[in-house]
Amino acid sequence: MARYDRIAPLSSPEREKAFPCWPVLRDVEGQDRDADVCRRARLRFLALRPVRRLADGLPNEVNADSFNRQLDLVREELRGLSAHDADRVRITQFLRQIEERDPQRIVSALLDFAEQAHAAGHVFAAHEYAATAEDIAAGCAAELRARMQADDDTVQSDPAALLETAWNELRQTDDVSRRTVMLERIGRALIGLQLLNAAERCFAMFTQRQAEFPVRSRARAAYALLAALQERPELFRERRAGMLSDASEWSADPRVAATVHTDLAHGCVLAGDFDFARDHVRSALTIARRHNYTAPLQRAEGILAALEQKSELQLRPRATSSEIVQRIVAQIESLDLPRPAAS
Amino acid sequence: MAFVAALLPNKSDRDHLRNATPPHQVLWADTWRDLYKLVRRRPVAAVVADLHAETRKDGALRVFRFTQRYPLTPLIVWGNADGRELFRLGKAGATDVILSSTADDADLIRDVLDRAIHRGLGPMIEEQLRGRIADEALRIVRYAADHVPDQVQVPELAAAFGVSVSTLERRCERWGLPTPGRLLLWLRVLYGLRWLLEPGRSVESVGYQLGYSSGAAFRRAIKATIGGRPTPLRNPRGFERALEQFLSECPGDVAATPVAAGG
Repeated sequence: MARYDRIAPLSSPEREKAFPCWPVLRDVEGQDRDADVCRRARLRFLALRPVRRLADGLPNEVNADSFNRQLDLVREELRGLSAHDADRVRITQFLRQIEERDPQRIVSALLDFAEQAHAAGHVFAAHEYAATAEDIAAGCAAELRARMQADDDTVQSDPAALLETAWNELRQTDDVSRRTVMLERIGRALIGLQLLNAAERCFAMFTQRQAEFPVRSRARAAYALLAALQERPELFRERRAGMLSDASEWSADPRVAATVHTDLAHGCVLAGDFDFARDHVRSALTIARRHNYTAPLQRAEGILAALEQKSELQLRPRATSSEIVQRIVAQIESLDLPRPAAS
Repeated sequence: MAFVAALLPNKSDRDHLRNATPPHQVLWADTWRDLYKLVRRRPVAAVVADLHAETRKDGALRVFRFTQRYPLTPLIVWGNADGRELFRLGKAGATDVILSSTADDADLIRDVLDRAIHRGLGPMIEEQLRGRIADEALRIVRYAADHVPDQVQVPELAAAFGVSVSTLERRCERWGLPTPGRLLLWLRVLYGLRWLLEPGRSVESVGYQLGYSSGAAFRRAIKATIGGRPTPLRNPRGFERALEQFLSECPGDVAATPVAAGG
């Protein structure tokens, strides 16, 4: 195969124009030469294919033997992963839930899987599973899809609302990986509200937990930015250097890379490292434009504007504090969390 | 019955496809060049091609080139595709995939083929006419649309619904449809115009595919329905206009109720 790939740079087809379940594979965008990433995306694709058959026709129209064979083939391929592998566990559970072809169980399996895949950073797979659930039972995934969409936009115009949603979910969920995602989100929301000490405590707690690379990298980038906002440029530079030396953890995933570059660009502007800021903002803009990521694109454009005016003032979040925010911050303060290190 | 063009060098793959295709007929190609020729010359409803039909060639790139020339002809890719290849095939415009591990599953292949074949003009026309004409009339139009590539004629259409030609004519009048002959003429023209949206096809080849003796005969059919020449119609707007004209000849009569056979 030619070293230069003429297909990969093509834009992705819309869901209606792509072959069934293909959108699941969009998670490999930018990482399609990583065999492991592709293998896992393929498994998520193969697991959804039998359900797609059911969704396209009446469940009884699909031959039972043929359907079961499809499931068995996925199970066989899953054996290539370790027994404790998170993807293997997730997909095995999903296959178990759909094998009886009960529409209600299928829909609930699809929604569960979508939620878990989203928490693990497989955003396109999550949306496709949710869309398939929607195709089977209209309206069933509306709430989840809205939530996932809000999650995708992370710290947007209303960090207070984000803080409240994430805090409520953190308290309600028992899923460890979901709690980690929520912690990262709370930290970002607190940065957006300029509650830097609370954010510091939140990220300090995050660092004590295991997290998948996408979530961990986003949290580390936000943690670096936090140092710049706290006017500790040396600490920011140290954290940024750490991020760059571990670039293999985040650079392959365009969604994560766009966020990391945006955070680091923001931090560089605040720390006065304008040349580095330009490099990061350029990378962020390229990735965000190529993959059509609205939120990082808007942020990167804001940073670029600040860079051109050499003004870091507009990049400082405005302090706002509602009663709810104060209550949440008080609750975070009351938790037995590690105290931020003295500067 | 529809024609499926296939490029499968492996004999066992050919056998698997042959087992799954009835009532459709498979036309075999030995190379991608042959495959192009088949699509250009025969009324092919779908194409099946092995991703690795040519060694040391990028199969996804071949798929991409095909879909650029024939964007409306469904292309199903057959073979052992890893995650990266599947991702690239989607970007290249493949209609669906049949993985080697499921190649001996005739039911699965049939499902994939049926879905690909029925993406054509038939469902589009059915959707436009639903609610405008009676359900029985809709079934006849859909049947006619699905069988235009097989060069269906009025007596066959009537026989398929167990009525005589004259009964079918009376019913079409009652349902607010054109006469069966004109209905088939319109459907051939719409099929032809849709095919002509694909850069890889010529007026001559489309005319031949639709059963006309020459490109000139197809041009005359267009003149008799739309009233122009085909070349200026080789764009989506031209096709849409033709479809609108066809729909205006199907005013429908939703009050019409199904009549007894022979009535």
